Amino acid sequence: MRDFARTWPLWLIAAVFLVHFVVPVALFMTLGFATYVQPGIWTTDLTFANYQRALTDEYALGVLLVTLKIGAIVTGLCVLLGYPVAYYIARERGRTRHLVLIIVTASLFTNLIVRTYGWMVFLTPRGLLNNVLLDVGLIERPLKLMFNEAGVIIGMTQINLPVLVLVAAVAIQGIDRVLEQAAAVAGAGPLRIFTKVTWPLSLVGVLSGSALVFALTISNFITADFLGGGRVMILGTMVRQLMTRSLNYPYAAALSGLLLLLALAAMLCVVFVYRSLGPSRRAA
Amino acid sequence: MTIFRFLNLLGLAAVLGLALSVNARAAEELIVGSWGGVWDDTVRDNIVKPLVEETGAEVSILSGNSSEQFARLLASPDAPPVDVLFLDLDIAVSGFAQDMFEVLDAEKVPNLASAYPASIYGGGQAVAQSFGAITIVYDSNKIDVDSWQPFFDEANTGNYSLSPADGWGFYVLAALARTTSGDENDLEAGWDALAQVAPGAATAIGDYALRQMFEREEVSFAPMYGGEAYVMYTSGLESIRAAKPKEGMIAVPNMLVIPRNASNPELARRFVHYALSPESQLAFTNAYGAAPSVKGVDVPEEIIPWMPYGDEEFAALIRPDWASMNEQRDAMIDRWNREIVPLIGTR
Repeated sequence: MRDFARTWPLWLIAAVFLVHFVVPVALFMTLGFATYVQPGIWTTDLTFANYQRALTDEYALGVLLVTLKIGAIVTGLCVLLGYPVAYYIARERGRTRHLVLIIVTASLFTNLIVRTYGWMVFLTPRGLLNNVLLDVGLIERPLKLMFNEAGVIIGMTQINLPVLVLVAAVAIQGIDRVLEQAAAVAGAGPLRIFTKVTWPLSLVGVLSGSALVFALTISNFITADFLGGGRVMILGTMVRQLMTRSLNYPYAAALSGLLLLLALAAMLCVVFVYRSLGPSRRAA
Repeated sequence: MTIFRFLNLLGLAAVLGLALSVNARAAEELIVGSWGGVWDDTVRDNIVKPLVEETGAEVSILSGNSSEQFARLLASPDAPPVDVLFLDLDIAVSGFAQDMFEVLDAEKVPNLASAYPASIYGGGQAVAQSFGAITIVYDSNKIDVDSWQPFFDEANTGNYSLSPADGWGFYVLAALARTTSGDENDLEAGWDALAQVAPGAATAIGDYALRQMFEREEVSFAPMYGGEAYVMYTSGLESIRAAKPKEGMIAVPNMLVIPRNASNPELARRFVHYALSPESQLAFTNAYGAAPSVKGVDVPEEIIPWMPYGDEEFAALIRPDWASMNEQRDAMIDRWNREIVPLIGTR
């Protein structure tokens, strides 16, 4: 009873989560078993057709592959570009570090549509980037950086980069510096210290950040819509199209289930890798 | 602060939030579903203002495109989140089929009596607040357009954009069907035409992004809502024009509907009444290039090029069979994604 008095807010939050997330999502998922008739109209006749279509339709599977590909590339790029920034934030002291931290977090507080429009202005054939490259003579014709997968990947990488940076920075900051100093005393050079001590101990943060970036990427339809120019379809875009244009809620529900499973699979991968790291590395 | 004290505060905040969310809507509040941008500004100044002056009611505008608004209604048919809303005809037709809207009555909406008979849709479930059209918008410094044929000219490759399937795409499909076969409902002709046009298109993108492409001179012409073109013109893009193609423009009545079970039907009816007043009609004409749907409104001469106007032009409007198209909308969007999207920009 005493425990409950101390933890009731946790139970309340769990109840709110249940009522406001789990129940609506579960109810929506059950729509996947309804029979679609025409836009906005479906019956409660039980069918597996929507889930079957989501798992066997050639086009939907193609979209799934593109989604996974873009998710994987964006996650990889975020790790490559974000880890050094996270390392800098975690290890440096002074004003520059704070400035970098402010720049990284500031972009999180900017509206997603504004950020995406910013990229449209920057990447367009007559945008800033192409103009500079043309002016300095590096290219003769504007690069095609928009309305294709490249544009979507560039935009999504920038948009999700802060997530990876912040999560990885916390992990790096949590590493006991004594371990690195011990490695140095034992004769290890900076590269060896990084590959054998710092990187493995920060891997949990990198993995957690990667899972978040992956989940955010595959469900982000706004950036895919604007920077893909109607030519890049990912699962999030397809669900949005089914919900708002086809008004085919049953199939949208089935595809949403698939999307949710993908996001959960990414999280489970993290847990699996985390457990396989062993207790010494988990300590970080 | 300990973690448990923090959690206690968080818990109290959650309880408070739940209590407030139970009945967050004021009794005399009218919620209007509208399309955003200049349209909302015009609604606020010319419909909401006199309504508030008369009734003292609180009025909120919930912006979103027709599909989003309709999706909101579908999500909560017994307690619609809006009391009155603007819808595009292709979406409204789905609602007519399900009898989702109140039948409007001139006794309760007095200005309805002066609406043109052609302004009434769905057996009285909707009234066109005004009329517009999907037409070809072009940069007169680059090209002069009076037909849908330039979309088929390979010399124009990369100079035009298409509308996406979840934008005006099916309106364009109907226009291209009319252009190549003479029948807007010959959808196979429309698909064949789209397959010819798509490879030369720079992209398929919506109105807001398209405006930027016109500003950066990346496209010279594109299918677009005439009213949006008029807004572009009045906001500084002086070379923008809206064509009146000889094969026809596609009719876009700006429908107003009151959902059944609306929380404030009385206020909603007053809203429709003010939306059909000659003053508000003229305001929409001036701000958005929208053609009036009621008798007795004098349209300024300089705005006529931006809208369908007069008996002849109205008779020539392309009017797709949306009821039939809606029956196959899912399959059509699927076909668009499979067959048209991969072709865009490939030439």
